Amino acid sequence: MSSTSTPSESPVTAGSSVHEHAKRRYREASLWTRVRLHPAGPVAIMFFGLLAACIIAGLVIPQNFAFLNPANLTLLLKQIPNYGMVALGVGLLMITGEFDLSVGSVFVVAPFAMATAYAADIPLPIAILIGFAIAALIGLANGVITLRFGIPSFITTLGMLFIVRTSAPFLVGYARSLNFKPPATFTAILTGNLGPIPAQFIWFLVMALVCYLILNRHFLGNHFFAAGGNPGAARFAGINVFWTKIAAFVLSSVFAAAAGLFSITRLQTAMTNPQLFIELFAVAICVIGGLSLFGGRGAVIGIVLGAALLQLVQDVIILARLPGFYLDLFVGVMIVVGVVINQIVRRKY
Amino acid sequence: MKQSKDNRVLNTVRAMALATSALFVMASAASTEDLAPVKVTFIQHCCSGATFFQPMQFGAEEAARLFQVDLTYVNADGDAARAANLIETAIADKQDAVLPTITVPDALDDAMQKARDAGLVVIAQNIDDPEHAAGNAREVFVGQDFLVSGKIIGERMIKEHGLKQGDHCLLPVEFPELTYAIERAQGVQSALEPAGITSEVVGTGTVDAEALGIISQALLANPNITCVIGLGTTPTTVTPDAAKEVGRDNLPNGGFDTNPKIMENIMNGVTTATMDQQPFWQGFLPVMFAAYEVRYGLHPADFNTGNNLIDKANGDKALKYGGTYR
Repeated sequence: MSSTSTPSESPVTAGSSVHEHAKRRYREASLWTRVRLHPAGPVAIMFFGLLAACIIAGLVIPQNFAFLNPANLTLLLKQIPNYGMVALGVGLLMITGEFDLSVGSVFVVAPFAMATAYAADIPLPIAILIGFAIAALIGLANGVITLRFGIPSFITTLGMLFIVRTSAPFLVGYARSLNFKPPATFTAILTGNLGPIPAQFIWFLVMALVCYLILNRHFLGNHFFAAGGNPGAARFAGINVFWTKIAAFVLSSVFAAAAGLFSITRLQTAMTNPQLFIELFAVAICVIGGLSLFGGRGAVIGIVLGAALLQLVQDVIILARLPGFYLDLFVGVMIVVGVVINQIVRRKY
Repeated sequence: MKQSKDNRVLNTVRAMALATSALFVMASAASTEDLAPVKVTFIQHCCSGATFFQPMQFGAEEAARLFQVDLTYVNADGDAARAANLIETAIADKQDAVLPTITVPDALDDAMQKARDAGLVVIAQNIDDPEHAAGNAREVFVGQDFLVSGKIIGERMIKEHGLKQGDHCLLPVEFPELTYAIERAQGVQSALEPAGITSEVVGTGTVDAEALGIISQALLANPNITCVIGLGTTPTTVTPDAAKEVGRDNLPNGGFDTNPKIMENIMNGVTTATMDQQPFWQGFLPVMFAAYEVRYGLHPADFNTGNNLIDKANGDKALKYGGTYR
């Protein structure tokens, strides 16, 4: 561990004296240096830079660039949680040094199970619990298979992505689409508006806060960083790496199920249609947000800003009437640029 | 005497019965030989679980049951290379026929030629090569004529909503680069452009909530959009919600394909119409064609499954049989 460790890195890998020294240096550094050193620093600079440009453009040419239109801002806030909620769970897991590609299927299957149970007259809270239980079981299976058999989680969860995606239609036969019309109060709480702020954005912030508290105010967070940064040292320090990672696998699945619940509530329909590439966007958001692909480094604020940046770029492309045909091209360029900037900052400092 | 006569009659009846039984047994043997199971591999090109493919699989399975076909129904998961491998597997497995979808022009050419060379019946379903029969070794294609169906829905939207010169239509589609999207867009534009109506394509992906947001943002970005024609299932499904998000509840919209939500919107008058490519036929007919060609040498023909426009007037059966025949 270099002497530039930040508070969002593994304390175990740092070694206590070196880590304390790094923390002291970090606290004494200028604000600019601290921003640059923080895992979420580069994404924060990119996000707020682009946001400032959008605000200026929205003020100067409001007829041609409706960014400041209140409806657009509300829409933007509605879009951020789509991938953002999934990315929160994936990010927690990435900090432990593992991946979860099965979230794309959990996002579909767990809410479909909730809708199926609800359609069978099971009370809504129990139906929702059933969906979350299925998600937790999938996460548990991912973790146990990965850790017990020493398989890279990338492979295990890729397999699980296909298994879950295919088994759902197999199990439900030809009934692959269901109306999901819960009580209006429930719909309003999850997907209504609080003034101009969409409820799902508030829920996203609440979930992000929970993740922050887990990572920064709970022993589990310390264990996550340690297990991802240096599992050997973590074990030496008495941390149960197996159960730490299992907890992260389960959380990853549960967050994906929660994101799916918001989606079916908004659309009032649950379908087994595959929602392609959610898992890849979630990983991309985490990487843009400064999380290390190798574990042990990252911050929740980075995930939040990464999700916001992805949607902001998409919004800019559409509002600026750039060719929508190539939407994914622009998003792809942004992902690569974001990761390159992250790497440059990491190496330079 | 009478008893003897009766015996003769009885013996004659017995002989006739025996002869009839023998003929029946012989005929049965011939039929059994003719109806030896034909081995067919059906390659769905992507999207396990997608509601669109339900009737297709249902149709393929129904044809397999009716025509004594040993059906292997597999999924290429959106990967043309995997589809090519599945064709090679069908050859190695000594299947009688293979039924792929040509999502990417040229990607399956070699594999399909090998299958023909190995004596397999090759019938394309759902999506054809842009060059049609000239572009590859498939015998025939069973699926929607994207250009014609695009023109039909475009003309219907013009007629229904009085669209005229100066109007502008948004054409959202999951994957703008794929053949189905390009040809449907061309078909729609062939109806819109002569009327002086402009259009633009936007990519939405298949994530429902994302597609909803993208279409909403596009509507905000361009208030001059006066109609939306979804070129695929996902955008057609979520467009009414997107219009509602930006306060344009009555925005004329139509599209392609069916699912329960699209049908609900049509029956409620929210969506004008949808072009149904009748995926049931795309599953049923290739399997039946393959069985009859392998057994009797009957050569199939191209079959356009999809100029069926569904609106409120004829949508009841589509709604009733959604997920099976529709």
